[in-house]
Amino acid sequence: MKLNRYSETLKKIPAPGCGCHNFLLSVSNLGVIAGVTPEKLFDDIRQNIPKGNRRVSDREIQDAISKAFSDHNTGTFTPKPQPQPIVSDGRAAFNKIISQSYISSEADLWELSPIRLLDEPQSDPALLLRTLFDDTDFIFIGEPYDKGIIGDTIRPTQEWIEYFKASGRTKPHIIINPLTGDPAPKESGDGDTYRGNGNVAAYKYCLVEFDDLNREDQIKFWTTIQLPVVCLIDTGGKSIHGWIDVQKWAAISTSEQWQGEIEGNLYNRILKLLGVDKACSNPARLSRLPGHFREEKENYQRLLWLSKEGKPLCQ
Amino acid sequence: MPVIDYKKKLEEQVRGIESKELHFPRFIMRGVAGDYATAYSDITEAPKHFYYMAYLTCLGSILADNVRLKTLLNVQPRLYTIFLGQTGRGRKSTPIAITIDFFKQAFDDFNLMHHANSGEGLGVFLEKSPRTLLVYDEFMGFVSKAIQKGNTLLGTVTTLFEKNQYQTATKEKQLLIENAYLSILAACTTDTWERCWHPDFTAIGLVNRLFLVCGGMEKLAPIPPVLEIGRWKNLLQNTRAVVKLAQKIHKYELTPESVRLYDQWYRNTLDHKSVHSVRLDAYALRLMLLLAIVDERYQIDTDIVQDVIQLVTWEHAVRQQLDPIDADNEQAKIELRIRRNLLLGPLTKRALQQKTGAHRSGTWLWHNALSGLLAHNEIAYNNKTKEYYILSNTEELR
Repeated sequence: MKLNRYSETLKKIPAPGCGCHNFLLSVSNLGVIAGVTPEKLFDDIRQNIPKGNRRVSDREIQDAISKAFSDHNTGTFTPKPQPQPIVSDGRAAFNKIISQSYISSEADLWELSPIRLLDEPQSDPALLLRTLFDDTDFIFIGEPYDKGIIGDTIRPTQEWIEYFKASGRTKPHIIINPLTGDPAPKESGDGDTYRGNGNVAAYKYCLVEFDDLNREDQIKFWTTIQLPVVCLIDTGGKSIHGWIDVQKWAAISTSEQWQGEIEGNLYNRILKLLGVDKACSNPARLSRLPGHFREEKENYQRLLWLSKEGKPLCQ
Repeated sequence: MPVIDYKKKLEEQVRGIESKELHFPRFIMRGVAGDYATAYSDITEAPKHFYYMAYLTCLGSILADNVRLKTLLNVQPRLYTIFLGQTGRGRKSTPIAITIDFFKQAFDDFNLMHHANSGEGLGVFLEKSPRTLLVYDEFMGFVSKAIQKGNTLLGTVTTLFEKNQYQTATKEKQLLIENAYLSILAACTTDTWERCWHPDFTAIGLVNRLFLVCGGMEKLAPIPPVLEIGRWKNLLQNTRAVVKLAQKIHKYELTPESVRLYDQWYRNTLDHKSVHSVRLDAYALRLMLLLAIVDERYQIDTDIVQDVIQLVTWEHAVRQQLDPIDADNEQAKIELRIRRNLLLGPLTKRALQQKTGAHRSGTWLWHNALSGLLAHNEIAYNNKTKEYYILSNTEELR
């Protein structure tokens, strides 16, 4: 109820110059009452401000959020310091990285795979699960908006493997990390979930995907970058999803460590500059399940490269 | 703990690849100036940071008499900006023309002077329009006038960088201007830049009063389209809004954390002995004002100071790379060009010849210079890669 009121008010923010400034505090108050985190509140407000005759600055939004939090005795909102990017021109760095690659075709990528991918794509789901997860790990596989239901969309690895063998049916998405199988509060504060960031049981992998990059350059990137990769998945569309072994990047066992090491040091400082989609940086991210036939594209989602141990493709 | 340090390996890969090339710190281009630079660089061939710096220079000129930093020093947001790039390919004049036009439409009191022939001429103009942006499509025009014997242009421009008073007397007229706020926006080819300097310029210190911005064409746009009217109007309104806000704030204060950050950089990082660091601190303070204004901040916080430090560090590298060549004869000039280019990384003979303009100097003289550097162990040749590279102990010769 509180969340609905907050969401409805968000859509009513007037254009700058028509009462937007005062309205920011109203939305912030409703967000605080609904239990929305300051970071989410900031993003929601920024995205919902319509075009007007002036630009609403980040500081103006931050001030409204801080005031709302302070009025409700829940502390103030101090934005996290942004990590300094390690290069000034990410695009130039990206171009130089891919210029070092001598591989640009899927056939060469396939040749490089430590686990030979000889079978048809239909066998990919079982191969991926067997290679990257333990038998007892709870794994979510389903549609993007499917609820996490134990025994249905969330099952232990072994059960999924048997399911795929028996039915031959697949689903389009998989969450990249194993889940606890227990409910946890949603980040929005609106009830519980079984498949959110708070349900992650072990931080094994993170997903790297490019926003808008041609396939050849994606392959070049993956064959040169010094990251511990475990698999590359052809999404059946334009993209390639890369899964990174986060334990080889740093020892991560808590969400704070994930935020600092993966979101901060890996994504914000380096990968974001190279053009990687920052939205993929959460631990309960959905990736494409290899072996699923993507009807709208008339293509199989399939494995392009697979390794039990995370390592750079160029190693 | 991981056996292989991937964090370090990835950082080295990305950092190493950036090498010593002069890339403008793009992530600082925020706020309305960043929006403006994105809008125009998307549709034209000129680099984004040329639009960004042209915008800051024009904005600084508009606010020169209105906005100050809260300090004992009289810090005004005025810049002397010079765009440097290769002839025909630098795309230097386009951002200047577009930005000037944009500001003329945004503000009725935006005063421009195209070319000044003498200090007195400039003085007369400043008497009428105290807040003036002096524009040169080719900075050589300024140099050729300024080096004429008896011409006071060089002295006037140099004085007006820090001061707002100007006085001149001729037998016909006594001219005293109390409030003159001069900014400069000019373009120059790198080739002209290296060659046009007269010892008087370096002696009087004009070079270190200039903010050099190097760059070149980043993409092809055979027929750049007109900017969509809605976007243009939005930029215009936002620009007027930030100017109003800045005039209202008038004196910008640094937060205690940002004072500490700047203090640390000023004491520990800024190389006070380097000739290329002179007045970088003055530019840092001016840029703090401008970056805070375009990002609609009410005070100067650590984000702004960090951005400014990145920008002046880049400027330091640009100055080192594009320092006017100060040598007595042609061979010494070639040697200096070879050293500077090899400082950026190893080069093949062909690449070195192209980058140092060997065809202009003449093959015989160019080879003599190269042999001289090899003989004195300032540079060396790698037989495997067939590249020349600089020996580390010659870095100080830059």
